[in-house]
Amino acid sequence: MRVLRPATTPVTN
Amino acid sequence: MRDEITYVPSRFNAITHTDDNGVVLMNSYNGAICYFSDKEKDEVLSTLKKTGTNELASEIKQELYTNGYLVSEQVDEKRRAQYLHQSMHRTDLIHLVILPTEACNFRCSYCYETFPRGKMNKETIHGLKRFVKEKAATLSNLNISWFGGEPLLALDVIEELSTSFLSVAKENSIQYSSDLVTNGYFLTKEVCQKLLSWEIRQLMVTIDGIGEIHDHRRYLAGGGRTFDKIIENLMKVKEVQGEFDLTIRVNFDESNLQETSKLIEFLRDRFADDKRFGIFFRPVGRWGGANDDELPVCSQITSNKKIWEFTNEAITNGLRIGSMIADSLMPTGSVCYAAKPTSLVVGSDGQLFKCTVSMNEEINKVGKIHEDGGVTLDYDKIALWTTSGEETDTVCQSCFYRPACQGNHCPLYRMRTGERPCPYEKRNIKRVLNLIWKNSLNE
Repeated sequence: MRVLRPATTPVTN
Repeated sequence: MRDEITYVPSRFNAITHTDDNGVVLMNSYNGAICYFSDKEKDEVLSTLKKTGTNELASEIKQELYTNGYLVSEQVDEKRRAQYLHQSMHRTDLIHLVILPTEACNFRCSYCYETFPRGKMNKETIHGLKRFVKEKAATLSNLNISWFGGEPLLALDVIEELSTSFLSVAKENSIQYSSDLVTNGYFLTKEVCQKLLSWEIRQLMVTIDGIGEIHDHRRYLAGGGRTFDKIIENLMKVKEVQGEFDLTIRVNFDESNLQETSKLIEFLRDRFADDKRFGIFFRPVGRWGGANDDELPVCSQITSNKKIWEFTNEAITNGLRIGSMIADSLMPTGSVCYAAKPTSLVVGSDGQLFKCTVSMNEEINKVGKIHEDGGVTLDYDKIALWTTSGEETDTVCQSCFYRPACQGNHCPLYRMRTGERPCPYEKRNIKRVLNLIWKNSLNE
C-alpha cells in the first residue's frame, strides 16, 4: 500500500 | 450472523483500477487517497463488499479502517457530513479574495469581466488593514487570494496589504497563506521574488496555445501579442530560488482543441524538469462576457472528455498536475469560496461580493468595507450563496462526493440554470484517481 494523500481529521480544514 | 458484522465500506469511498492492475481508493470525508498493488487488490475488493467484515485481522483490513474506507456500521455518515458542512461557519478562518485593481492590460476573447474600476482606493486599503487587525485575536487562519483585473498592475497595493497582513499574522500566530492569478505579462523574475517574500506561493498563469494560437485569444488591450513575453518570464521564474506552485492553466474550446497536444510538448520541453510547475486544463465557458454568443465552446460531453485526455497526455509527457486536483477531492475542497460563509471578495472600491464571475449582478453585491475597518453586509443575499447546496438537494445529500463539494461547487451555476453544479472531478472520479496515481510516479 502507498499513501498518495494522508487522511485528514475532518473539520480541521 | 448479521449481528457480528461491525465494519462496512464508507459511503464516501471511490475506487478505480490503475494501469498496473492495482487499485486507488479515495474517501471524500477524510481526503485519504491510497494505492494498493495487484497483490493486495483482491483482499481490498472482498473487504469492501457491502456485507462488510466483522474483524480487522489483517494488515490490509487495518489500513482500510485507519484510512476511513471501512467504518463501524454504527457510524451515521450522513450526520458526519452534515456536521462538516456546519463547520464551514467557524469564525476563526477568513478567506479574502482581493482585487487590488479591476483594470487589465489584456482583453481576452472569452473574458467575462468589464473592468469598470481601476486601482484600489486608499479608503479600502486602510479599511482592509483595520478589518484584519480587528479580527486577528480570534483568527487561526488567514487566506488571501489576489485576483482582478490583472493584480500585478497594482503591485504596490499587494505590497502594502501583504506587509500589513503578514505582520498581524506573525503577532497573533495566525497561519497565513496566499495565492495569485495573473496573465503572466508582468511576472518577471524580480516580481516573482517579491511575491514569495510576501508569502504568495501559489500562482496561476494561463497559456492557451503556442504563439499566435495564444495571441489570437489572449491579447493586449488595444491589440498586441503576449505569448513570447509570458514564456520569457516563466523561463526566468524557473531561476527563482524558493518554494512555490505555479499552475499553467490551459483554456480550450473548439478553436484551439487540435493544437493542445503541441502545446503540451512545448511545455514539457521547458517545464517538466521543474517540480514547482504544474498544468491544469479547463474548457472555455459562457460566463457572461461580451463575446459569449460567438465563443466556440465545446459541448459538455467533449469538455468532460478532453480535460482528462489532455491531463493524461501531459502526465505521460512528464508534466505534473500539481496539487490542485487532489486538493479539490479533500473534505470541503470543492466548495466554491462564493458558498463559504467565511469568504468575501473585496472590490477595488470596497464593494463586497461573494462570486468573482457575476460582478455586475445585484444579487452578488453583498456589502461594503469602510475606511474604519467596519463592514456592512446584506445577510439575505449572502444566505442565497451559502445555503443553496446540500441543505435542500437530496441527491447531493446521498452522493459519495458530498463532503468535498457539499452541493456548492458553483452556486452561481445552480442559480442561473437550476441544475446541479457537479465538479468535473466528481463526474470522472475513476479517471481522476488513476491520473493522480500516474502523476505520483512522476514525483
